[in-house]
Amino acid sequence: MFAASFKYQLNDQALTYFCPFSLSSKTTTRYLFNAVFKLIAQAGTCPPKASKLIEQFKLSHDVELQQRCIEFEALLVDGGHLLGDVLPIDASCEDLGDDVELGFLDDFVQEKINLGAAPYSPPDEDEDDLITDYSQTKPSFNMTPYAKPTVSNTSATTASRVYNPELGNASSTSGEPNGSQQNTQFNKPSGTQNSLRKPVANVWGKPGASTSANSNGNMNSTANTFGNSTTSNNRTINPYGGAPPTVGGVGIVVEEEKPRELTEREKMASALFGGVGTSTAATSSRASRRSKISGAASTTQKKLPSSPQSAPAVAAEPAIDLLDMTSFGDSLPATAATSDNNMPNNDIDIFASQPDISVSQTADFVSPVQAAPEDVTAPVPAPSLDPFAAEGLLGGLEDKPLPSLGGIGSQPSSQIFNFNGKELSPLSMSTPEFGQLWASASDLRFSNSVSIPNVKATTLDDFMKSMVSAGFHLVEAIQATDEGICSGIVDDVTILVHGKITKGSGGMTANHIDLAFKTSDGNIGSTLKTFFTKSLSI
Amino acid sequence: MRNLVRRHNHILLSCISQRFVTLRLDDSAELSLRRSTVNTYVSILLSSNKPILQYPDIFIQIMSWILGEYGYLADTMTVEGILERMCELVSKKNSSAIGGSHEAK
Repeated sequence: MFAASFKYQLNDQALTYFCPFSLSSKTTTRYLFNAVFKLIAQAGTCPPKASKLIEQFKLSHDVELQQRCIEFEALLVDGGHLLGDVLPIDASCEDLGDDVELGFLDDFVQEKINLGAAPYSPPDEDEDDLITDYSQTKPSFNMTPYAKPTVSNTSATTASRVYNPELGNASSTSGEPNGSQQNTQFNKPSGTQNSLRKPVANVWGKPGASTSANSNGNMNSTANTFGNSTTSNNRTINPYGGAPPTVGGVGIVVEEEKPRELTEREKMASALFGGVGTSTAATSSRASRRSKISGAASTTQKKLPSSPQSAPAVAAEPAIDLLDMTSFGDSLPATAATSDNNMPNNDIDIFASQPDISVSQTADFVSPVQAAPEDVTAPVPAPSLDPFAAEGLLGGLEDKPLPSLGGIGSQPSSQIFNFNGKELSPLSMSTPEFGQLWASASDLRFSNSVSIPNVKATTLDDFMKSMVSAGFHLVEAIQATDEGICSGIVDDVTILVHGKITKGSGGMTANHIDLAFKTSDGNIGSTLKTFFTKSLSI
Repeated sequence: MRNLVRRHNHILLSCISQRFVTLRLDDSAELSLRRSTVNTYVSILLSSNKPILQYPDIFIQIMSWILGEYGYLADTMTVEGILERMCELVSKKNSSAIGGSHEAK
């Protein structure tokens, strides 16, 4: 007895030790009720105490317990015969088998069918079939690369040009009719001029394109004369030459096979400044340019030998588009008509890459070189190339920027922008050329912007006049958006300016201008900012 | 600690209800084990030395499950008797819970 009591006390202490605290009272109550339900099922009867408890706990705050009591009461009332199945004896731990066929529903289904219900008909398409069909109809990943765009005929005709060392000209493989005219174009010496051209070759010319280096005997006689050519010559020859820079006698010179495809950035810029410069557009504009160039060249040719005084009048021809990047080949024939026979022996070619005075007077963008005092005077190496200068025919002729370009009247020289002692000169170009050059990150790498409040200009025309008076070339003024673009060059530094006028509110405040400009030299940015601020502010 | 108790509770219930594979018990031994367990819990339930509510809840839970599952194996008491005592236990526990003794824990 003592041992049994000790054992019981030990068990009690052990239970207390292992279970030192009470767990959830709710859980314990649920266990108790679960036991009551099972015992009722085992006994087969529900004593009054149990019924009272169930009725009582149907209103319990414990929702779980409340639900169980309600369910069990319903089971007692409506399905007493199911108690043995719901609460089987010694079967609580049995695993429920998976009756996939749902055979226990057969009786129920048959009963419903007998009552007139429609039998179940499975769907026609199985889900697996649907998945299979979808996978079959799903387009596969296309690994085939896209075909390269075909080269248009226009570009193909201008693709190849072969330099004939015997004739000293360049003949186009596309059957260009004016082979002799091309002769004047390529009839240029090279010597040191190629090396001198290099630093600014990408500014004006197409990348990788420059003049032919070879020359015939006649050109050899003038090679030394052109030896001291300035970089401005490159600006004139590149758009027309297109031959790769070769120093020495390279017999065959092949131009680029096709025009360089515009990059996305260039296309966007071209679209911004007047439309995308597609080859079609370029081709359509070539004819007009060709006629203009022909006319201009002939005019120049006529006036050059007669008197140097007539040169400025020729220079006032702004329609010559010498910077057409897309008309390398097409513009050549037009120039040749004027230069092959009528030119002097020293081959002063208005479209040549050499620093002849005629070119500098006909093209405004060459003027910055001549604008410098040392370039204007005879002792400068460049004038030695000039037969007029050599003959002393220039006299007191001074080369200065032509402020009348751009359709706006002449401006006082005091407003012209100066940099390193040299005045800004207009740089003639079209809007697509401006856009292409603007987008070209390699040429104009330095971007600046300045916002000038309280400007004097009240309209876009006033602003553009101010820019022209500063020495810029008016490329285009867009009245609809009060935007204008202009270009200039000073000391071999190209400047592109984009300005936008924002009108003041109701006349209470003055207009202000947002200027963005790109230059090929980073040192000129601050100077330009100061100049714009001073010249445009009230 | 609570998780440990629950784990022991689960192990104990498993040992009682399921076949002791490791012990290689046959059906008779298993039935004897269950019957012994039921009789022990019935004796505790009927004991007057210590009220059942003084035992821990985990003990009451185990006892409830054993008696509910294998109450018919009891030798000293009928199923109806166990059911009646269980109902009394629920009533006492409910009253004590209302009094706050258990709910306060």
